[in-house]
Amino acid sequence: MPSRRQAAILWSIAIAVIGAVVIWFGAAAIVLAIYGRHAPAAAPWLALAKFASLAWAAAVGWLVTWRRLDEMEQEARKLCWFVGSTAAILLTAPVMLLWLVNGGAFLAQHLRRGTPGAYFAVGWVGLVIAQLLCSLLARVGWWAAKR
Amino acid sequence: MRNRLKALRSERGWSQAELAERLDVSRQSVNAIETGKYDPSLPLAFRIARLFGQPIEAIFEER
Repeated sequence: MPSRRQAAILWSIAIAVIGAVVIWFGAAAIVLAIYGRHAPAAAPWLALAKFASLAWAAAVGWLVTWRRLDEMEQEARKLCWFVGSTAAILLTAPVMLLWLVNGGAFLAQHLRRGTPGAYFAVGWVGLVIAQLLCSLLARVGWWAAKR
Repeated sequence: MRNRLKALRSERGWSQAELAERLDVSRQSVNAIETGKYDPSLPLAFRIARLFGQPIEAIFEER
């Protein structure tokens, strides 16, 4: 049986996920009904619906859940994100420098579409994944120290 | 910081989960405070003191 605090957190996560799905599918259904399945004019509206869905999930899932965490959990997350993000930025810097050798030949070889957008996406996603992984490692360290 | 939280909780026959529920924190937080691995904030320390009806300095003391 979850405690009152756990139940509140689970409830806010459920609202975030269900709301995001409803916004995304609801908006997509309306846009596709108006413009048709393959109409180019639908693309920006679908992108907007996707953004609204993600914004809802982030706002409810992150902000509301954050307020329902207790102070130790908030401190753990702040510290682990700070340590993990800083470590990820430091660790990925040499990788970026290696990729730049020979004008980024390594990246061009491994990316099918060597467009500036693809390079930017790889850089951004790579850093985000590195930050998440390093934060997770920091969290394991916190858990081991405080349990 | 050292504290008498575990002793006070035991006197009342409460489990860590019960105390956590009364303080509106997680059981892990209660455990970490009891074992001295986490120092509570001033607002939480006041809540603990109010719950046990004692001044803060009677519950917490510097090592």
